[in-house]
Amino acid sequence: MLNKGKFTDLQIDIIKELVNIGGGNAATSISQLISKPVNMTVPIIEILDYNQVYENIMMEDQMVNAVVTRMLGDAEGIFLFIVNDETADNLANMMMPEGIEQTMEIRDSAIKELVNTLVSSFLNATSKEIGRSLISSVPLLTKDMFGAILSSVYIESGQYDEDIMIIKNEFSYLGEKIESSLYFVPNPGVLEKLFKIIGV
Amino acid sequence: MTKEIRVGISDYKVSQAPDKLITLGLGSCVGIAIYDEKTKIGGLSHIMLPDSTAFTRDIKPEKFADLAIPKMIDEITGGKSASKLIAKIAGGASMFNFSDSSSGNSIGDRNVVAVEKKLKELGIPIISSDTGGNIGRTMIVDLQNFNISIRTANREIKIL
Repeated sequence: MLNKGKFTDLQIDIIKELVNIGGGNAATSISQLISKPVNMTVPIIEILDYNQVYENIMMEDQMVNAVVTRMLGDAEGIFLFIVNDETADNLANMMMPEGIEQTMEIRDSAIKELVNTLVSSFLNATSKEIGRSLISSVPLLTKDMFGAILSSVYIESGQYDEDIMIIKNEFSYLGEKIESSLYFVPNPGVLEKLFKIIGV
Repeated sequence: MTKEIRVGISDYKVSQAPDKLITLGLGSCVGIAIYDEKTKIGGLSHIMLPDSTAFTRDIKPEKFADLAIPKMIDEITGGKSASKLIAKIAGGASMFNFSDSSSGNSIGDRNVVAVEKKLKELGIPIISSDTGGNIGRTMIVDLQNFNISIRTANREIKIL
C-alpha cells in the first residue's frame, strides 16, 4: 500500500529511521535556538498523488511561508519548510531577545535562520549515520500558494510522477503541535543510492 | 445553474456556459484555456510537463502539453475541424531561483514554450497570457464570456 512496490518494507523503515535521527537532532537544535523544549512527532512517510496531498494535508491555494534549502554533497535533494503566518510570528518571537520589535524583515530572517539550523542539524546527524558527507545550501524564502510551491519543488527536482513520496517531520512544543512541516524531496535515484550505501 | 468545476494537476475539464472552470496554485505548471466563442464550450488544462516523448511508461496524456492540448480540443469541438478556437494561458513560473541552477531554462519556461508551440501548430491564437515570473497563480475561466481572472499570492486580481 505505502510503497506501491517501489521500495521494500525494510527500505521504508530505513528512511523512517534516518528521518527520525535527523529530525530528533533538528528538534534539539531548535530547542536551543528558542530556549524551549521542542519535540518531534513520528515522521510521516507516504506515497500520495497530488490530489490526495491537497485533500489531506493542505489546500493548494493556501498561502504559506516556504523556505527551501538544497541538500548537496554525496546525495542531492531539497528540504522544504512550510509554516503559516501565525506560527512564523510565534517562532520568530521565541527566537528574539525581549524588547525587540518584530518587523517583517526580522521575522523572515529569523525563519530562514531557523530552517538553516534545522536542516544543518538534520544533515549532521544523518551524515554521521551513513558515513557520507551531506551539506545544505543557503535557505530561500518564498510566500506563495502551497500547491504552486509543492508541485514546483518536486518538478524542479526531476520528480515527474503524479504520485509523490511525502517525507515529512512535524514538531511540537509543550505538547502542542507547531503548525509547520519539514518536507524532504530527494532527487531521482538518491534513495536508491542511499540504500546501496547502507546495503539494503 | 452555474457550476464551478475544479481542474486538478495533470488533468483537464471541458464544459459550457454558464459554468466556470477553475484551477488552483499553478507554479511551474501551465494552465491552458481554450474556447469556442460560437458554442461557448471551453476547456481548461493544467499541464505539468512540456513533452511526453522522453517518457516511455505510464504516460498520462493530461500531464503533458503535447498530448493534453489536442485531446482537450477534440472534446471541445466534438471532432469538428471547422470550429474557430481561441486560447489564453497562465503559469509557467520559476518559484525558486537557485543561483547555481545548471539546467538552463527552468521547467516553467519550457512548459510555456511547449504550449505556445503546440497551439501555433494547431492554428489557435493566444489572445492573452500571464506567464513567467516567480509567483503562483490561480485561474478562473468564465465560459459565459471567456474572461479569465488570475489570482496571485499578493491577492492581486488580473483579468485576462
